[in-house]
Amino acid sequence: MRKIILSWIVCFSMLGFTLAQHTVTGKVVSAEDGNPLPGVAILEQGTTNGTITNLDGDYTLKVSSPNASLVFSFVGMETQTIPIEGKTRIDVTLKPSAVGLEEVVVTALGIKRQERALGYAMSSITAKDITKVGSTNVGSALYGKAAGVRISTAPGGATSAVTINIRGINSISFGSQPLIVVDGVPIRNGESNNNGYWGDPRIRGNGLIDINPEDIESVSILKGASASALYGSEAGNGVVLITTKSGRGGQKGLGVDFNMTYTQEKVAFTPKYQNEYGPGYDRVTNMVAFGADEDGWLWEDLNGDGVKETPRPIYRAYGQFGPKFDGRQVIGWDGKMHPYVAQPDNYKDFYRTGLSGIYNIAVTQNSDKSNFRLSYTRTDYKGIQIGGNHYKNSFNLNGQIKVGDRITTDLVVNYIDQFTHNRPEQINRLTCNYGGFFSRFDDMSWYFDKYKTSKGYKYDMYNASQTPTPDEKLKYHIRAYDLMDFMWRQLENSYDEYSDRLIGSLTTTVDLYKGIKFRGRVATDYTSGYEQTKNRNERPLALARSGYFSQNNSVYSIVYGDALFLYDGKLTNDFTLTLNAGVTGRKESYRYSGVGTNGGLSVEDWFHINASVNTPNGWTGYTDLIKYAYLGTVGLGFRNYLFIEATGRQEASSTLPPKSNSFFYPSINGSFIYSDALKLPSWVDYGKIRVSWGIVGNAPQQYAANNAYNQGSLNGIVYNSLPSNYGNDQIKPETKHEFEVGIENKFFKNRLGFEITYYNSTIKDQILWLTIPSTVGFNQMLTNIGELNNTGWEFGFYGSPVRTRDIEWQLRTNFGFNHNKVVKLMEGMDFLTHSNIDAGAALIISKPGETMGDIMCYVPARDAQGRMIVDDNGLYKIDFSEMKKVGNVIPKIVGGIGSTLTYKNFLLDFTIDYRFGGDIISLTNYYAKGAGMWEETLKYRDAEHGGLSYYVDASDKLIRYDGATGPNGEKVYHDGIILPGVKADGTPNDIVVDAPNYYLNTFTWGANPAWGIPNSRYDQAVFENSYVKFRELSVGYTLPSSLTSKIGCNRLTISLIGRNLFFLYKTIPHLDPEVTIGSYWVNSAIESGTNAATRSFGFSVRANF
Amino acid sequence: MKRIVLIAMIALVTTLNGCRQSELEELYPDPGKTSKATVENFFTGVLQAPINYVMMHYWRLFVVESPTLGHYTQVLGWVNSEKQYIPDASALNDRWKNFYTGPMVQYRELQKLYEESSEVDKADKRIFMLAATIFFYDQTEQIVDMWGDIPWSEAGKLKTNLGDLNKSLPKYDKGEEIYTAMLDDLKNIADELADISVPAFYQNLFKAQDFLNDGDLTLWKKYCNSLRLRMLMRVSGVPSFQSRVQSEVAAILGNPSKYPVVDNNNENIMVDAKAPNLTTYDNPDPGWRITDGFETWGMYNLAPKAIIDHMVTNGDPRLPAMFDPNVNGDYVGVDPLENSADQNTKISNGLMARYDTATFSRNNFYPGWVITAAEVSFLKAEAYLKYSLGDAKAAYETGVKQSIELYYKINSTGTFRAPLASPDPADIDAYLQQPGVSWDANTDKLNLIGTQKWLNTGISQMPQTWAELRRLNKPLLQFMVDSGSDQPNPPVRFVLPDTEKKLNSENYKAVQSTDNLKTKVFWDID
Repeated sequence: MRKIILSWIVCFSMLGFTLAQHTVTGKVVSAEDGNPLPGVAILEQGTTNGTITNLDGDYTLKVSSPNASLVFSFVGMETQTIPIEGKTRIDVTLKPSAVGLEEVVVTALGIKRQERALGYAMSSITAKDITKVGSTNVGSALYGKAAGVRISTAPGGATSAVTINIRGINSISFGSQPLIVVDGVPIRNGESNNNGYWGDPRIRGNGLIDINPEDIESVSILKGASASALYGSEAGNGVVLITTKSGRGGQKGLGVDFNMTYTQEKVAFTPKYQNEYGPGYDRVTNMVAFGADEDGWLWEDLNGDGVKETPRPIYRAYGQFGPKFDGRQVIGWDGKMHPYVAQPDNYKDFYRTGLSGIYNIAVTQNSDKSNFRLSYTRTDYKGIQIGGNHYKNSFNLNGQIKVGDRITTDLVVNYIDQFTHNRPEQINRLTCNYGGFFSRFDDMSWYFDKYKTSKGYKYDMYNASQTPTPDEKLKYHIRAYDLMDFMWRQLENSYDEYSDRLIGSLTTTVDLYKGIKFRGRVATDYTSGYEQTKNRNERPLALARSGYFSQNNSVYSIVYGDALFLYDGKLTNDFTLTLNAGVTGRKESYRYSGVGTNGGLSVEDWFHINASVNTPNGWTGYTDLIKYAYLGTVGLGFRNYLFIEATGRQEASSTLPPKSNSFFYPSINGSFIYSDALKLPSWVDYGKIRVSWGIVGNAPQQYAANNAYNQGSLNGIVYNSLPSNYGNDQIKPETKHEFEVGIENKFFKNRLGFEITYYNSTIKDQILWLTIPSTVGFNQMLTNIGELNNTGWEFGFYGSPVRTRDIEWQLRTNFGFNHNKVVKLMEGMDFLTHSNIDAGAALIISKPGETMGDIMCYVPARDAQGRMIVDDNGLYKIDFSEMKKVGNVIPKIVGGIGSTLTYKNFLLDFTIDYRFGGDIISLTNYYAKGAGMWEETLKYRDAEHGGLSYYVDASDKLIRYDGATGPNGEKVYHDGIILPGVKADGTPNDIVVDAPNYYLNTFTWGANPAWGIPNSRYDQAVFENSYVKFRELSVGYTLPSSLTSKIGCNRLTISLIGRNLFFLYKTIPHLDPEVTIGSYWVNSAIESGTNAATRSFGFSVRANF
Repeated sequence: MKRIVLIAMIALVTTLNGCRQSELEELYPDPGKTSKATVENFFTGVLQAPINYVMMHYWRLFVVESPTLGHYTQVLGWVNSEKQYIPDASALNDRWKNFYTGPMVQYRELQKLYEESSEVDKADKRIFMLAATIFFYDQTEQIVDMWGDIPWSEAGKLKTNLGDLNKSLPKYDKGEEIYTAMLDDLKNIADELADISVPAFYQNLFKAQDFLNDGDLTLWKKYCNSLRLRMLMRVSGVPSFQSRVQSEVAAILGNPSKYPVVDNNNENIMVDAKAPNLTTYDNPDPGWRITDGFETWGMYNLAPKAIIDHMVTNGDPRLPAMFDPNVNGDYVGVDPLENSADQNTKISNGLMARYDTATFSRNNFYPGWVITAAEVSFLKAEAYLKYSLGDAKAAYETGVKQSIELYYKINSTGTFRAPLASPDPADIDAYLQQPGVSWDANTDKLNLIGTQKWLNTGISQMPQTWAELRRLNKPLLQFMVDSGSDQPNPPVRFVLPDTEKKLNSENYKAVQSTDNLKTKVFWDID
């Protein structure tokens, strides 16, 4: 703080008179070719006073004292500090920095290694990339930034989970999320939303999103088995190492950072609705089932004169094939008169504008003996979905104290306090359920007005017999009751989640003897959660029991410790040796208990367990696991250009059967810096070849292998039974054996670089619930049986196409191809079913020998010539004899492009990410098409949209006819279709079907002739899900230091930021490609109504004092 | 210094190793499950295991039985479709799986726990074992009746064999062998039960655990002998069983004090639909809701023409208790010989009668039928008729009255509408005199018995309805022939699940040639 005050004084005094007493001029040239270097930064050491060289490499700088020093820095060159010593001219020759030579990186278990010695691929992302566009969590800041890493953010905003897939899918049935390690401590992350809407209607978060992006220094992604082998059975899906910011290495003394980001979120990529037709079905249904007239109008007698004079459409219809919008006055279901017009924006109006504010202040202190960084971040968030809000307070302390010459102690504490009110609910009930389909005529404000009565109870249906507010009943039977129920849940009920999370570690490093160090660490990740549910009474107590209250407490804790002996030294002049050995252990426990009312609340809106009508329900439980391992590494280096390292981990885990709970995970890797070993052209800065091999694992789910009895109670009678699945006392972890080879190069003083990696991993002993003949007494048995293979290429390129004094343009791109194959499954079984959609209408399966995740469904029958066969009803006949493959869910390519353009103090940065290949089942698209919601369903509805003309003959057959009236004076309609194809007898199809029937019956729920659904086409619910998204944009301006220094500020940057801006390309219609939720790989291929996607704009201010 | 390092390392490793290995073992089992179980708790486990197929459970009706058995027995009105006589394999597989992972494996575990008990405990807890065995045989009988030859004597032993799958793959037993074994055993159980004495403490324990007969030993005796009667009559046409059937039936019916059977509706072997867990309408578990079993799609409660015609023609008093009339107030059933378009038109115009809302689809207390007095009376009537052991007419008419009484009793448990008044005895008598019912007016007495069996177990016990229809072929039902299909008529047996074909293939070979929809079950000879 003192420094700030001082700076202020300095600034103010500068206004009056100049303090500069000395001027230095000079020229900066390159050591390589002697040419002048433009754009070199020159700074008076310890101040913010600086300048840069001009095109000729010349500079002039007024300095405060002739005894100061000047710091010369330039990208790709070694920084030089030169004391002025009273000179007025200082010419400098800058040498190219030995690129990558001395870079030290943090690898598994926090062991630091020279970058050049790594024999495997590792992607690193720096703080700047994580915070530049104000992502509320670290996960969604990683889009497109690491090759072979696929990020998916669940829609729902800051409280929704982010899933990360590294190098494809590595487990058929278990988790696919990487291990997250923060400052050396494995933290709770967890799977989310894997049980569909009915399993949990709310869009959940995971542990990763609690980590505050503002506190992150860097993120390293360990992709292959060799890189992560020291984490053993935890690392089957890769490891994400997060290092938080510390006070180390910064300026001496006290520093203050202030950052704020404010963004507005708006609903984006909304469906293209048709706005020409209102609610109703096909002509016959409208007339026969609803008593409407031929055009779909129902007529009401409002004035009681016995004449039905007022029209209205069929509000009960989920279909949108009713009367055409013509602006006439109709009686609404809310009892008011409205013009009959479309509501083009009613879907958008269901949402609101979201806001996100992130405010961070950090203080750093740095001295020779100690350093620390203390940071506080406040996040306020309100998503686009009605009802919810969220805040988070994050504290981060990262400190280091040196005790004497030999002992260093590091303390890192992250404390996160958060509150979430009514986190978003999936909109499954609105888009994948006919009971929530609001019509093109419905004004969203009608629902907001009507979902609650004036007395605060839930709406009454048109036929409610008892209600305190009979005048407020809905006037007619409508369709979207589920929409009003949704509003009631989100706006009237309350589901509050409070959590306090502490992630802390204490590390002590002792220099023992000649390069031997001991490092001991204890750490914890402790979350205490409290949830409270308050469901209001929906009806007066006199009429019905309703309302609910519950509270639930939970504690999740990880206690972690490791102890390592580290040695780094020289054997001879040519050889270096690295030896590490130690132990690591972890205990995880989860405790929960809760209580809830039973039979409603006895006093209206009294939210306490004492309000329970019947004996309250209680629940409680606990789980525990421990793991520990001995581990060691041996590394050998030769002349600093050839390295080889071997690692081993012997691990024991309580999730494995006691008889065989210990496994060994080895790895070996090597790197060769051929640019040092061989004589290469001078433009080659750096060249490395690396090779590695390793084994990591994926442990079975906790308690899955254990065989024990279920206990149940039937009306108070206790009984035992065996579960229908048999565990396995012989189970082993799944093991991933991965070989990897790569090359890294840097050219032209680091203006161009690339990295290419090839990997081939086989995941053996896949743990599957093997289907067994149930005659042995069980349906499934836990077994190590399947085998998967993933091969792939990863590419990373970067370059600076333009680099002048004023302009620098950097481009980065990366992409990864992954090819997945199921090598084997279980003997005797042709395929494994992962998901069954709409009662068997479609399946997601895996077959041996093919890529996992085939989408199967029944498809239209074809004759010998491949022509589609049309049923007697004019719709395509579906072949129900067997399912056909209609897609595969696994993406083929993921990648990203980043660009940073600096012009003087301006910066323009954007990130594009993309994904190609991989199909999705989109049920929202499918049902909405059947309901006639989408723009494309206008096709065939009338003559101008390509409908054929026909009349209806005496036997109710539709006869193609172009005259004005039929041969016997029948009315001629213009919404006919003759589907291309042949009839059962092989002659060309000439059967006319009307458009509403075509849509209603072709794109409808279920596929089963026995249920009267013989023509549905689930192949039409399958879409390729490729996209290229303009993910992030930031335009920044750094105020000139001459200006900012006046307020004591070293650096002040103001940026305009945008996230999820637009798509350059996408294949799924009407929706965002990332609309799915759930961390299990199958779930990401089934879209069943989650939440709308968003686009955000805002600004950020980042200041350093 | 080197030494300190070494010592520290050794200390660390040994302490970690020592204290952790025991903790690893301790934390391996799921704390939410138990490793301890008792004979009495497993007895209840055996009764509970097939509960979804005892009670009128949504899944049982909608998925498994109504589209297959309900259709083939014409206890439901059904819309014709192509390939309608090829049953949906996945639905039936579910029934199959439930038997083996349900009663079968639970009974195996009970056997194991019982065998591991001390001799004293065995004697004290004998009743649990006997009762469980009766119930398990009842379940087995249903599976044999649907599939014929099944794995049985070696089945359900994966756990017994400590997870050795290859050793546990069971062979197929012939249906007649299974029946023989069960009949032998049930005779022994009947004899043992006849003079069993259960210590008071264990009698109370049994009463506490027995949700089927509430610990009533007499009911268990009646259940045992009634089940024997059912099984004996079912195999009564098989030559190799004929002499046995005659003598055993005579022994049972001739000695009611030693071998009592279910004689009246108060003695029905049924699971009462009690709150909170066994109710069928507002059950907390939505999978239970009888409403969805009948009313979903508006398809699974349609009245069948054959039953409606019988009831209307003969003035069956059960009609108003069992069916709701159509929109015009008439009782009309779906005609199986009509084409589907005409059927559908009538259905969508509300012209079809449907199963009664109050008695069936919205009845919270529809009981789970196991053996009813009416069924026993009809078995008696058939036995008397066949072996001249007693008054067949009286037994037949008693059965009809018991069935009428039962449906009205069930109707009275419903709360959807006010219960119907019990039918006037005069109406019942009048019904008994109708041409389609009268014992004296008909020469084909077996047809009368068969028809009443069909009306009685009807939709409430579809497996029994189907078995007796196949055995007796009475009443003779008319079906639309699906000439384009490999299976133009209703099947007479179900095919084995894929898991057997593919995963128990060695043993499956023995039954492969008979594993089709056309091979009759061994007792189905005509």
